[in-house]
Amino acid sequence: MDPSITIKFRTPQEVFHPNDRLEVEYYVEASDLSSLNAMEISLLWYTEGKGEQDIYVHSFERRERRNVANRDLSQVFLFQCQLPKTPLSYHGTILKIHWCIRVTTQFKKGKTFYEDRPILLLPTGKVLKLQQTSHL
Amino acid sequence: MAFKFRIWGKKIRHRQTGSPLVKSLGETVFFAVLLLLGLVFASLVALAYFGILNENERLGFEGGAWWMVLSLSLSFGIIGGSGLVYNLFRIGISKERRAAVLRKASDIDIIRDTFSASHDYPSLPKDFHIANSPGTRLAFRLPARQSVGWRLIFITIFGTIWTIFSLGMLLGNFQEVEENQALGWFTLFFLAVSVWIIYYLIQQISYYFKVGATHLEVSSHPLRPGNIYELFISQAGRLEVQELQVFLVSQERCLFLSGTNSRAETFLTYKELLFEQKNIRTNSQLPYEAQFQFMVPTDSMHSFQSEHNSIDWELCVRFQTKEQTIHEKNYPIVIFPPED
Repeated sequence: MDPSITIKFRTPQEVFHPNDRLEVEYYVEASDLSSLNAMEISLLWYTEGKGEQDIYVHSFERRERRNVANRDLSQVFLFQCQLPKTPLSYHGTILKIHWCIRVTTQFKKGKTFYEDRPILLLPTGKVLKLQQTSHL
Repeated sequence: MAFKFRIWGKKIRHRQTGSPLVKSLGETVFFAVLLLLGLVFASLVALAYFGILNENERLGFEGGAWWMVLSLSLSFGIIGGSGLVYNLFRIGISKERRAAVLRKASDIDIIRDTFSASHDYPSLPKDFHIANSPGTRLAFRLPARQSVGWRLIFITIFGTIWTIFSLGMLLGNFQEVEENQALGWFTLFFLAVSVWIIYYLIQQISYYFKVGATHLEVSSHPLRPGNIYELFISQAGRLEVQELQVFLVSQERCLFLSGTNSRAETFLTYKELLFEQKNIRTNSQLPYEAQFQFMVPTDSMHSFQSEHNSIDWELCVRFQTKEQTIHEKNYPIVIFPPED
């Protein structure tokens, strides 16, 4: 069975402004957590549209089993960072710029799963509901 | 969704089916084989060249084409070696981790321009070409996208080399041209191209002096949405212009692969006429000059630049001469996000 990755904001908001502080709790639930080797969390933007996809990681943390207390990757981890000033979220015609928090889990035998939590980086906030998306 | 094993993956837009591990391993094996082939053939050529191998073992490597085999082996080795190192670096490392490493590398770039205003704004195009260019009437002179001067220099150098080569060919083979008709036609083709380049160069130089330089100056930088700025335009040359217009333009631009070709597409997202003037006459002593105000539209997206995608803003000067010829010159600008 696929692992379940949960990403929670400490303050319930999905629209952020430049230089805002982002605090996220994340954890993974899986039937076989002993085969989980590492977890990565990144705050990143990526482009979508007609062009080739560009991806830029603003902030990144990696936790490996051997470096975590009690070698326990099932605990709740905290990720904090400050948002940059640009690029702002953008929904154009042939180009879109999306921001998201991505948690990637790496299991034995090279199996990788990731979960995205989209956010909006806007100069003036509009409260929009965003869906959490899951990928293999 | 559970992963299904398949040997051949396929690409659906940005997603790739098939195991990324299998793909990486396949590429690694391919480059390792290429490196091995390169090393084996290079060693055989070296051994044959120095006479270490006996006649049966030489496999023809000691012949006149040894340098060709050697250069092929070396290119195999270089491609294989670099591909192997690149793939070994990628195996088991996520796309996000690689992107984070690249970001750290770009952050310690010692030649980064720390004085430009875009320094604190990741993904904004560099603006030092504007910030380092003071104007005469207003604070900053905007550089044009295509510099006519550089194009003229390039054509002149290329034309000179081509013409020297063609003349050398004509003089060197002058005796043989009469006997060898193919060589004659070949020389004639080179001379014809030379004549065409010289004609084109003269045409470009006369255009440059007739149309003259267009200068745009702006009162402030960085430019931000909702703010009003002064713009100064100066048009030199000997012209009778029916209509001169200045536009503020924004475009989404993207690069994508279509098969093995790289293609670009643009989409116009904003175009506003800022200034218009009809029936202008300029001469070499008296350029046309005008100053006006414009506003960067509120709620507009800032300039953006990534490897394959961009949002470009520019000022476009368009004028139509009495001879109905239309000239267009573009001046890139960098729009910053609204101030915090």
